[in-house]
Amino acid sequence: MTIEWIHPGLILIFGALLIPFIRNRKLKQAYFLLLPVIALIDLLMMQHGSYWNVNFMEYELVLGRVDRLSIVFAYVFVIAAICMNIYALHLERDWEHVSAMMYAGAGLGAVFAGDLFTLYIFWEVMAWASLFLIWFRGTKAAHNAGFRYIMWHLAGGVILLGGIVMYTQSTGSIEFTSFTQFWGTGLCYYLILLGFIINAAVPPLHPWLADAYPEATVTGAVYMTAFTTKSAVYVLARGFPGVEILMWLGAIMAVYGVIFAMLQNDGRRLLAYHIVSQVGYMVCGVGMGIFGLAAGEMAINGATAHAFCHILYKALLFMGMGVVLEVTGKSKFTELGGLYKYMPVTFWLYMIGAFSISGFPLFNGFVSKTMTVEASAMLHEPIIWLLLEGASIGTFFCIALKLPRNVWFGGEKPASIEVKKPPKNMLAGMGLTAALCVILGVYPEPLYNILPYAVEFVPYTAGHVIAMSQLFIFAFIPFWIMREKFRGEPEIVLDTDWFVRKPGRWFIRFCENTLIKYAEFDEKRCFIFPALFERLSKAIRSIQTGYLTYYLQIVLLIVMVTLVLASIGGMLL
Amino acid sequence: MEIPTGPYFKLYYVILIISVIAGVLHDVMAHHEVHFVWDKIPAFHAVFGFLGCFVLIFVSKTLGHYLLMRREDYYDD
Repeated sequence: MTIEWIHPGLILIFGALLIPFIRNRKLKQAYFLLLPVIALIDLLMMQHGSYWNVNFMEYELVLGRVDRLSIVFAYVFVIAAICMNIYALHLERDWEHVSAMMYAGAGLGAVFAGDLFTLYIFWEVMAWASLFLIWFRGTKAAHNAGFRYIMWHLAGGVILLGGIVMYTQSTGSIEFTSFTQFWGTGLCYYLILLGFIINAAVPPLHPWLADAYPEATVTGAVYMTAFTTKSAVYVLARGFPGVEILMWLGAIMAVYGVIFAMLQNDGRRLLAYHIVSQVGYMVCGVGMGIFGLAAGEMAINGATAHAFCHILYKALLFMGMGVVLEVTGKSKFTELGGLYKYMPVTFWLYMIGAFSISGFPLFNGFVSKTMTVEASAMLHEPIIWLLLEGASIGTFFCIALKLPRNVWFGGEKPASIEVKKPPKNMLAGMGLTAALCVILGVYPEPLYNILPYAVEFVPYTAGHVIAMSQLFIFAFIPFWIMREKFRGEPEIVLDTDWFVRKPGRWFIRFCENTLIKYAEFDEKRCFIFPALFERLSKAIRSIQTGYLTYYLQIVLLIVMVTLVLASIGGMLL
Repeated sequence: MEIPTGPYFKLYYVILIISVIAGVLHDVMAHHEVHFVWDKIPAFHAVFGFLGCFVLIFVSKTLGHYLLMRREDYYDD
């Protein structure tokens, strides 16, 4: 028996479990860096095809569907994981490394999944593994945000599972193919799409992202920027290319994220809203990806290329803001300022990310964003074009102007904050990511060559370069006039999660009050119910230990058993 | 409002003027595809960047101050 294919996601997931058992610190760090490199080598040796087909009851699971669409996402996941592991190298907490690598591995698993059931399993592992990247921050805010985060993803997961079960019932198949031609013919397609767009953070189902990412650990947030939303973009591109509603949702989302980002006071929350905005370009691209049209092929290429570039520059931006948080302990604009003197290298590396996300010529956002926008022009969709191009202005405004001015400039450093020296590995991780952003911006051919369709798009025409330059040069004027208005205000901005959080609290309070009233009433009579309730609540409390590692172990155990069974099946074939 | 005149700003003005001239020249000389009505307006992106930025500022600040912004412990009670 020869092993013709090894699952790179399982390399990361199983490989991660050895991390806590390595005693020597240098060895542990070397191993942590090596893991995604091994996965990358695995990817480079891969041929297109369908691998690890396992029969499960009467269905066929496919753990390894390797084709032009899945491989692009897999490449960028692994490349990003290498950069992020360098950035996170100094961490002492082994279990945080474990959850980060399991998260990345589950992302790869979702991308290579050829059937809906496998997809669902990895989808859930991704949600749980990333939860610990929030909880390891250790603050009360992180604890609460983590709970809300997992609630959103559990709800999304249940909806997705419901859709999958109904789909399997009605068609008798669990194969994950394009549903576009069946769009509108059954409830199951709506449910599956709903499950997907919750993970893609499409408004109004996006608030988990802006709520949880800024509360995650410094390095955890960097991992989180890459895998959840981009694997959702992948499944949308696979399952629903050319579904028109996605085009509209995506374009609205691009502007929505920008408008909310402009009001934020927390640097990482501002960046989180820009994930919503940037994923909007990709969702829009998927929605325009009508099969068989030149514009549709360009839109899918644009969405894929933008996911690739976005993972790199967004990681870089979160790394930059993460270094600020690491060395000062602050991330709010009202508590920061004047840091350029203390951390110029971080500033310049961050600015490479800022120019990339804006889509400035010579940076990687330019070579991918223009493709999606061009597709909207080829389809003659003026409103979509205006929304996408308008969102670019806001992106430049927030990320390249507002944030840097409030963090690195804008007067003297507040006396209350001390600036430590950032760990060298953090800057090295940023340096590598920044280098990739510039290289792909100047020389995009390696990226264009691996896109799902043949690329006929030329980014560096005089027209494109002049247009984008004008856009940003002139957007600077309003910023300079209004700069003092964008100092950051010590307030929060309500979002659609208000509709869950406030009425939810009212409901719980209503139940509590009713119960208390009933208990008081009951106490006067017979004492049965209060005693019963007390018994029950004590019993429940004794099951919960409250130790994070204990919960983590249970989750790991379940995941492990599932994956071991699946991969044994895969190896045998 | 006074117009800033530092050395960086002088460079900025030069780049600004070059971008407009280059844009107008490109529109006149090159024959490019027209997808939308505004593709015929010279230096459209300059106008769009300038006005679009104001619109975004206006929309977000209005939404924020009249509807969405609350004190930081709003959800805590």
